[in-house]
Amino acid sequence: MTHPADTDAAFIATAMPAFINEASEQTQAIEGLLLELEGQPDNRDLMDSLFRCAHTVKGSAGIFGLDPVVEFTHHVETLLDKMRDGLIGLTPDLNTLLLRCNDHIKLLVQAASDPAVDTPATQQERAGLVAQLRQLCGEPAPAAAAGPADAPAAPWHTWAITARFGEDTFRNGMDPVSVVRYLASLGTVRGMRCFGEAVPAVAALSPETCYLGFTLELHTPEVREAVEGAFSFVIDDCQLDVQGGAMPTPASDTASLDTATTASPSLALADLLADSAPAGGPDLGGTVAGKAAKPRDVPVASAEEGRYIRVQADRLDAVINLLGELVIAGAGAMLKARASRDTELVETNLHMNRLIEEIRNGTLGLRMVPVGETFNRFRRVVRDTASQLGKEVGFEIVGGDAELDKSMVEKIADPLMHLVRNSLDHGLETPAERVAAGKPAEGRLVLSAHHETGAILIRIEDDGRGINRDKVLQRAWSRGLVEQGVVPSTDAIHMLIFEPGFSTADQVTNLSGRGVGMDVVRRNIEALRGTIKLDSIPGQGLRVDIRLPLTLAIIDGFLVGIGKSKFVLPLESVVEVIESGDSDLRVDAFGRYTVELRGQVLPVVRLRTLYSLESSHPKRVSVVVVSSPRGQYGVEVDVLYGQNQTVIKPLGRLFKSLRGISGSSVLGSGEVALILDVASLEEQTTQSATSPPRAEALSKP
Amino acid sequence: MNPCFDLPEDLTIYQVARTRDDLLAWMEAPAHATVPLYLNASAVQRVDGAGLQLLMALDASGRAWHLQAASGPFAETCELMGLAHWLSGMAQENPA
Repeated sequence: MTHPADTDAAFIATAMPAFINEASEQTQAIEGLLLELEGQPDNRDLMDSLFRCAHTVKGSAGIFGLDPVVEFTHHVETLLDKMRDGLIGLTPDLNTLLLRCNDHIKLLVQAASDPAVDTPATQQERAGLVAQLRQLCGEPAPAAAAGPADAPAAPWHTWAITARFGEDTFRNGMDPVSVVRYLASLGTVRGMRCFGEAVPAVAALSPETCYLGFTLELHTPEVREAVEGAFSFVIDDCQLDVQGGAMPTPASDTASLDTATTASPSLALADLLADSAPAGGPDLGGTVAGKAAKPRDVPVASAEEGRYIRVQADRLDAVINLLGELVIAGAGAMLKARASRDTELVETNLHMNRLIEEIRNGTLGLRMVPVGETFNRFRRVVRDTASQLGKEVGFEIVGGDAELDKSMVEKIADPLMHLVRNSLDHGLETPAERVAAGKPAEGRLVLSAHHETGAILIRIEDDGRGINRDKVLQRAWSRGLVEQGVVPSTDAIHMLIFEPGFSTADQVTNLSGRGVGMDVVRRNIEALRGTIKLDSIPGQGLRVDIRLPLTLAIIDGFLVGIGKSKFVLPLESVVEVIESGDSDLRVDAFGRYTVELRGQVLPVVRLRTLYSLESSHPKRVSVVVVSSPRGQYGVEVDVLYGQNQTVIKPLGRLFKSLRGISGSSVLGSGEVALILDVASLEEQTTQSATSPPRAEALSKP
Repeated sequence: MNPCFDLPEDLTIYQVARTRDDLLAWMEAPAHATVPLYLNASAVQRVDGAGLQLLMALDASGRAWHLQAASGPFAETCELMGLAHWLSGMAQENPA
């Protein structure tokens, strides 16, 4: 076929990113499906989805002329087809092969934009995989992709295809000619007729609007999905009808046109078509609707996709930024209204602020994605890691539909990966050890997520050997993390594994054990304003709880004042507030301020001293009791202003090094309040406990 | 020799708006207003659906038109898209 190379190049350049994006989504889906199938090998729906995914990759790669992808995927597809027909059963070995094939498809897709990726080594690997696939299929010829619908004796079909393209087809970088060209490559095209009836006169023509359609008969060994696959890039914007099968259809294309009925109900995009099919054109909604008895996957799938709108993340961020400003402005208006003492104005403002809050929740909800997508990625990691370590692991995901801010999901993936690997490597024992310990040979690893008030709890739970407290303590003593002979509380011992440079693994594997990582895990989680907590029963398992706020942009804060300065404490960390006279506050031998709370000594952070704030010392102060990952402590403040919707603004570079502060916020009055970071502020209290009292702390007892 | 409109090398979506303007101006020129239109596609190297659609629009304009010559890529695409009759017209109308 003499197809000018530069037309190809232009077309590929336009649509390639979309293809790569789609293909990587599909390979991701294939991986997920394969892993799911491993647990339920007889699940027909999963098998069908798997086949469809592989098929979509092949189909779209075909449009782009990516022959290596098409060729390779074809072999995979053939095997999947046999499996779908029940001719070949799914074994773990076969699944491993398919996973490797999927990796290879990924590589080939990558090679479409960067040919250097496909090295001789990978080409050799490909040849090996193809040989295995062919052997499994028991036939050397790659052309036999027999669908389940057709009798084995009659593998060739005649498909009557009618398509009418949407107005935006050209503008979307698609071309009916390319589709026909691809169809022609699948078999023999007969009765090709291009509809020009809808094309207006030259004077009235909008040349970049597509008015075209065509009808043709395709004689091909390919199944319906393969034929419909040719339209996968235009399906959202195309009225497609594929009729026929092994039986020949009426020879005349005009006949199928004249018998056109209204669109069959399975054409989910019918409403879309009403706009895109220009008036005056023949009604091509469907041909002989009764014949299409087989459920049609392609349009249904795209109807599902149609429920989503892809929005650029920065546009959404811009809206959320504006919303932040709106919250601040609303608070400002409220202040003025209150000052005016005009009840009606206050009420109107209250109403407005309620609405703003609803918009806030709704808009932040737009950024929410289910964490399950991230969790599913771990299936593969668990599978591969477990087999590498010779361990048997049953991996469960619970509550994958719990939602979390998109940016948070991205940032949490790495720490989670680390914790999962850690559980696999250090937590779970080998089957022999497990049996010896009276446990089932297969270890259990559960990754779960659920919502708690204003936060999400992600839990990684295993039934392995748990944390060896003595070993941790010994290590901590020898590394000088804890003073020799001092035995901290159990929780504190557990937290030691997150200290920099700590590792109890006797043997360093390439997975974990280098002692880098766990401290990074904690840092990453704390950077997201999250907390991490360990629960371990020696010999029975380890539970890691990660609590994360739902969003990074806006929090409910508790506004307090010291002198003229205002600070915001995250509301969820505030436990209670106690009034105290100056005399109640004591300084202990280490220069720490403390207050007695129900018979317990509570360390207190005096911000006035810590940040050298100018203020006259009031007679009575309040101590806000906050809970941090490592216990409770108090923050001494002058004034309590109460609850406040706080829009978090990052600190400038100048203030990045400031300890105890996580961000800033603009108040309704236009003042700036600093947001206190409860976790790092606590370090200020413990620091002064281990280091000698600071001069400034002593000077103001 | 009939007056003849030369189709550009690139008869695709990228140039189709300009080609359409050129073609429209050419058609409406007084000298060409009544005679059948002759198009020369011998220079066409790239053609897509948008390009073919422009030629279909000529039919809708109620003007008789004929191809005088066609390049390989153009002829191949016409055949592919079931528009081979355009090419047959070329043979009859263009004895040279």
